[in-house]
Amino acid sequence: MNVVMHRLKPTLFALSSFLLYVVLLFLLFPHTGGGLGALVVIPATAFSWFFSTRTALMLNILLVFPVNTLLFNLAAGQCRWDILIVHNGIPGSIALILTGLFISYVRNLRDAHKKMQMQLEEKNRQIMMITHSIVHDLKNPLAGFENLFNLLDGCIDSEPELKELIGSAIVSLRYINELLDELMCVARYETGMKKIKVSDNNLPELLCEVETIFRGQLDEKKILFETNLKENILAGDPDELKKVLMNLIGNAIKYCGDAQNPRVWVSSELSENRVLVRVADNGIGIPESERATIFTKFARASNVGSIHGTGLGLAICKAIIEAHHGTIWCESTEGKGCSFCFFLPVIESQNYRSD
Amino acid sequence: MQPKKVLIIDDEALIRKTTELLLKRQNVTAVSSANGTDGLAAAISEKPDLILLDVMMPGENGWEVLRKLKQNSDCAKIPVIMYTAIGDEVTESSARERGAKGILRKPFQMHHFLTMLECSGMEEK
Repeated sequence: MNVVMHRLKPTLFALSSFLLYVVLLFLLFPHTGGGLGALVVIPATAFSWFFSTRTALMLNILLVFPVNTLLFNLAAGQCRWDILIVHNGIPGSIALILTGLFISYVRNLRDAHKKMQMQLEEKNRQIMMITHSIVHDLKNPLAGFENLFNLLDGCIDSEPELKELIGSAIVSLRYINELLDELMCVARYETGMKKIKVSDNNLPELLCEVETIFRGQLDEKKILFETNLKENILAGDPDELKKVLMNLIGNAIKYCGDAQNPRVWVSSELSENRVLVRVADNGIGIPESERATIFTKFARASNVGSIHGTGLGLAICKAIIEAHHGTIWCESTEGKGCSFCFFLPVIESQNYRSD
Repeated sequence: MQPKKVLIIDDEALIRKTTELLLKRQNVTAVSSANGTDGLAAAISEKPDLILLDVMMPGENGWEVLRKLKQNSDCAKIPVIMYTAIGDEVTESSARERGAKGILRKPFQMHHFLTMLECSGMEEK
């Protein structure tokens, strides 16, 4: 589909430019140049299917004038340079100049747009680089503080008030740590520092690892964890895919709400050469108006209440899935739960196998 | 059972000292060095059961120290765990590829560490 669009675009562009040229010829001189030119313009435009717009333009110019001249001479039965110059040459030149101006105007617009987009991307990259280095420098001392508080926590049993304060300081430090980790992860993707290593992964194994991590929380909240896997191979970076599953399953557990029989279920299936993975729950769900923005950085649904979160988890999932050329989206009915689905292409694993 | 001995190689004094104290509390003998050169010497002389090695250090970084540890016949067999504050920088698989036993995230996570310590003991036997 992309290949067709890629070729269709310059063709349509060239076709419209030269139709403009023909129309101008017709307007300026209806009986000769325009009509004959049209015979040549349309087949010549077909060239742009195989070449770039610029090449097609050159071919058209090279073809339209000599063929027009030839056809006119044949029609007139003699060589009439005066008519050729007056009836074909002058309006033709004006039409070509106008077409050229039109094309360069469109090109300039497009280039300016591209340039601006590149500048914005570069600015974003720079901001993320700064974020990355700040986070980097903060992590080590913070880890030291948390160690220190943990030490203090173990030796001040005689002062319960102080112990409580230290307990909440540790909770805060853990939150900051989590936030910094996630910020770092986003920064790595947005600066292009993150390189993913694709391999074939066993989805049941990945899920088993994730389930082990959350076993305590699942038991504590009496959540039923189920899987229904019709496709077991998931191509991608194992560490990164685990991060996605951890985020999605972690969210499903975190926002389970007060459902009667809380459930989290994961399913997978093969669909049109892509693997579809779905992580669903019957928790609090996400309001419809917020579903589109839920993957942006620091976005949190309005119904989360006091449940803590950084608002970066889903942004990370999106960055990871997109780095794997996949797509991720959310389906939800507020109050009845939601499911997060992602598609990952199978093609990559085939490439990987042939490597 | 004789207490296990762990060597911590980290340039940050706060991390080094607090980790040392946290380990001592678990009845684990801890020694530490502030850089790779001292760390290598300590690994040979102290013969620890496990080495906790920081990744980001000025001068020789953790990976270079790891390479030297693995090249030295006196300490090549001591399991090394990369000790890192940057969760995303070092992955479990990349650490294993370079000869480490695994990674431990800073701040120090006691339960993760104790599992690793137990595993390292079992592998030796």
